[in-house]
Amino acid sequence: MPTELLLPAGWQVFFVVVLLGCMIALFARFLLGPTNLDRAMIVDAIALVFLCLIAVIAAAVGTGYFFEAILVLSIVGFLSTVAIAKFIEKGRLFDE
Amino acid sequence: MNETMILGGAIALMCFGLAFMVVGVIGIVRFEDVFLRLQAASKCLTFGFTFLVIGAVVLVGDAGDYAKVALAILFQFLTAPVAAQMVARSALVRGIRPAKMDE
Repeated sequence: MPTELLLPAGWQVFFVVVLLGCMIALFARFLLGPTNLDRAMIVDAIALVFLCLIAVIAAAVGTGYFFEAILVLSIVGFLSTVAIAKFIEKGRLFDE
Repeated sequence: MNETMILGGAIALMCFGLAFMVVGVIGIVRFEDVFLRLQAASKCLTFGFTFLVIGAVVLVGDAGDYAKVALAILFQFLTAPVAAQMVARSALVRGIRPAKMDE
């Protein structure tokens, strides 16, 4: 693998601007969302857009450590959505 | 020449993933129901994430980074349907009807 092969600056600006626009649109739907379940689902979607933003930053900087952050956030990112959905369904989180 | 091909392929993969992300976000913002929004979120966004991360790791990654990204994509494919199913079942239990079911 050749070193110093990075994403060019114009493409960096393009990807970051489009992904931030996606995040702002999702946040508007988060504020407008009719039910709390919409909000619980949009938290997951915002986390996924944020993972893509981390991938773009990794391609721009050229550091491999960002992929570990992607791995960890991809594993634990869905827990908040599952917890909120279960709480709204049953009124409590753990069955005693 | 070889580096130009790698750069072009990686940018093409990332643009393909970004197009799916944008389509999924448009679906989430404009659909009228929590079930339709779940469908857009769990399919389009996961697919777009896959191709965008593969493009990034083709551009800058070494072998360990390929393994990490493969594991991240595997966990994303495992956990996104679980979250979507929990939210959909919770919506049905709480009495939210799908938008055009009662017509």
